[in-house]
Amino acid sequence: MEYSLEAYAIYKNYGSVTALTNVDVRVRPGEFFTLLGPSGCGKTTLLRIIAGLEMPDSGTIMLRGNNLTSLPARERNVNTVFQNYALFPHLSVTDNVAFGLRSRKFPEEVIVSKVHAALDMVHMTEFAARMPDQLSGGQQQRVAMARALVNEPEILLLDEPMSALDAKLRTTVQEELRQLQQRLGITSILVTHDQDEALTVSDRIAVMNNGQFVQVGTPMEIYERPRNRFVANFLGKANIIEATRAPGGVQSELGFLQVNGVDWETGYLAIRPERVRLRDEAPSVNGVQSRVREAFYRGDHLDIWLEAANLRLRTAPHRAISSGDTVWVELPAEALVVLHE
Amino acid sequence: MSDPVIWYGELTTSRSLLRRGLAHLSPGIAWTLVFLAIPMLALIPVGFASRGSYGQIVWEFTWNNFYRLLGYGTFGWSPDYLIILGRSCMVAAVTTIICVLLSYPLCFFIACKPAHKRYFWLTLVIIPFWTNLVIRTYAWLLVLAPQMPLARLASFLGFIAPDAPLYPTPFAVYLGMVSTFLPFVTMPLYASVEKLDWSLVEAARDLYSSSWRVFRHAILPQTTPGLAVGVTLTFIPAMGMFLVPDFLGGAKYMLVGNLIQQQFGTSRDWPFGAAVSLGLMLLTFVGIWVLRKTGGKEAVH
Amino acid sequence: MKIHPFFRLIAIGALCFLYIPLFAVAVFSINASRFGLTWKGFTLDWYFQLASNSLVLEAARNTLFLAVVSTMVSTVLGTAVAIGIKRHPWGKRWAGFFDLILHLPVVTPEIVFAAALVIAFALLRYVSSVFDPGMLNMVIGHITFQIAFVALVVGSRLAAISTKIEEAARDLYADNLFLLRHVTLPLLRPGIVAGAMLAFTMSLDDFVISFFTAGPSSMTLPLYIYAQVRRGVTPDIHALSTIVLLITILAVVIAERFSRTSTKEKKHA
Repeated sequence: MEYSLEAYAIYKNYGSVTALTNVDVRVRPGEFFTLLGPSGCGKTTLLRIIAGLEMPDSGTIMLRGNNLTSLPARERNVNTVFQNYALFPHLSVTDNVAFGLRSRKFPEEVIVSKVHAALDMVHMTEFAARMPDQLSGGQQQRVAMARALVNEPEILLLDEPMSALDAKLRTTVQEELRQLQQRLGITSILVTHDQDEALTVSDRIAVMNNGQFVQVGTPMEIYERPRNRFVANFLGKANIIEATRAPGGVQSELGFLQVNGVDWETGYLAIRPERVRLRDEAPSVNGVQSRVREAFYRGDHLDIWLEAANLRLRTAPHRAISSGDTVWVELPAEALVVLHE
Repeated sequence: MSDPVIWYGELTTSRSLLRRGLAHLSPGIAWTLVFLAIPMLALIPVGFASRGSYGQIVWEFTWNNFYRLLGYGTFGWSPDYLIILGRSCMVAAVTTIICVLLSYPLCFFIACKPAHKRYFWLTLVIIPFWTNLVIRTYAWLLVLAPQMPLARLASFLGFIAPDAPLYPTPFAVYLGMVSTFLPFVTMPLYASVEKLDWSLVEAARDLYSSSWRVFRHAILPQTTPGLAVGVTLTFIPAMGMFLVPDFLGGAKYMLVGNLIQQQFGTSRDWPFGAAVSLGLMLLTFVGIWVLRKTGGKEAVH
Repeated sequence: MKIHPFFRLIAIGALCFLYIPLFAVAVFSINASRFGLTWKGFTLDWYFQLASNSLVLEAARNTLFLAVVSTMVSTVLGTAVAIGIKRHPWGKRWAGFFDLILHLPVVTPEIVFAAALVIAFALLRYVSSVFDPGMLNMVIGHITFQIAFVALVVGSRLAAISTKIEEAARDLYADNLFLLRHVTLPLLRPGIVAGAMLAFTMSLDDFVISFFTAGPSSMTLPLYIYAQVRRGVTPDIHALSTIVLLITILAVVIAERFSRTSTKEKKHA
């Protein structure tokens, strides 16, 4: 299969600080690929290396099979939507969008029609004459999108494009971004530290930590089958249970748990709070009885903390449970994830 | 390709980056070096040379110019030059202090005005700042003239002879100096006062009863940056001021600036002029150093 | 906020103190008395006399020529220096050296700078006689102190422009020249204009440097007023000074308006 972007063995240090260690990426054509991780994990550095704004210490970057490791930003058919957008404050919306075409000396009539089409695509035609400082955050973000997309890049790079928007707007923009990307079929790489955003828009996610890829997979794989404790904790909430292998499952402080695929002697299991089930009576397998330490009503769900093993579970909101009650819960075998490392 | 680097998205080499940086820098830096830095360094050898009988520089190494500055002349020791040096330091220091003392009330006066009126009052300070110094200085000659109220009052009180002007006198020099440099302190200080956090002042007012302590603990620390700029902008040029004492002080109240001007003008004694200039530089640096020291202590408190 | 009446009095006193001399000059410029400072009635004669005083007109021309030429050269050189320093990776030591050079004219007493220039031109006269005291020397002297101030003003503006903007331009295929022409310079324009205005006014105002470098045929207005005052103040000097004063007031008010509207526009956003 031909990849849109390939990066092999990328290393990058800033003095004694390691930013990237032996990173390999392959992005398929039309794919929405997300680099997810905490700040300082090297995700932005990787994006800047792909954009040509940074040099790797070693490694190779290929775009549609062409090596562009040593090409400057202006010779890469790749455009970026920057964090905080970096719009040119002295240029109108139209001139901002036209910038990339003008610097490549396109004829003016081509520029006019392309800019118009790009602004139309992000629903910003009526703001064409405005200056960037006369736009709201969401509008600036659209202009930044149009400014990148008008160049018809091979790959669209998005550097935390929604971090400056307020939470409500962010959800709408995420959905719009995903729709736009699907419609254009453009290969996109997003950098974010926001797990919801990553889960919503991506085809595949690479979870990064300490300059390395920890796990790469579809949103569902990453969420349902986290590889290790870092991924389990970084995406959503997880109960982590320390255990030792026993025939047919593991032995833990919750007693014997039936689980498949245990390939270590001692290690950790994970289970999502919403996969822990409340039972009226003792279940046949993987049942735990415990007092409720705390129960929080959250509107659309109920968060319950058990005294046993600090277990946390999430359930439908209309259960009459309060702290001090004793309940039965089941940890279904198929919901228990065997973690590695 | 020698060590490629990316600089703001441009792929280049350290060497071509250096070359382009130098292309930007070198005309301006070279200009400043040729016409400012090197000539100032040249003051050092000239200060150790001696004056020929036609005013030319004779390149014979000698300490004479510096001995002379310290008072050891052909006719024995006289403190004339040392007095001028000491007087310059005093005039500069006193001018700076008076300007600071006047600037604080002035800044707070402007800051207490409603926002749309502040521009007007601030403009009133800026206009003298940009008015030509020659005009501002000679204007005092009019105010201090015998027919004007100030001189009449002074003669009535018996300080000066009737129908004599109030210049050239030390008093006139101080008037001229303070009016010259007042805007130099007020403008930067106002920038700090405008940004003042009034809640801290209020808090201090609750804590301390005396207004001095409110000033000392709440206002002074917050306005130190503007004050430092203002003091530097005043003290350095005040040390070398030549026009104000020239018009208002006369031969009786010469400052270092006049002494230097004399050597490069009528006396045509460049080596001695260079030596005096070096002395002035030295005094200026010492003055700035002292200011930094005391200023640093203020910041710690 | 209230200010204590005593401090209020000091503040108003300080402002009066700044303006009384200037006011006196303006009043005596319309006084009919040629000698002495007693009021002899209103006249504009001194102003009309200026118009036919060829020395004054010549001095005004020289002042303007000096200011325009030195400002143009120093704005270009100072802007280039600012870009060169702020946008290239100089080591700590070099950056410190450039900083020192740029601050030299700020921390040197003017008279020492003037003395140094006198010596520099004396040495350069060994090379060529064009360095005889006169307009060329004055232009060079003015440019020398202007470069530093332009570079400092432009540099502070440049520091406020995010390098992200320049990276965005690179990402959008801009080469060095396109970036400079369409991004860096337009964004710097307020700083360049401010720097040039500062340089221009400093040149108009300068007395000391001009005094030490001028030749017999390169009299400027400050030098002319100085020379006349040394001989004794006369009403036509008051008239000339009043004109200069009025131009200053006008320039300051216009500059204030200009900077006020530009900050307003920013706030509006």
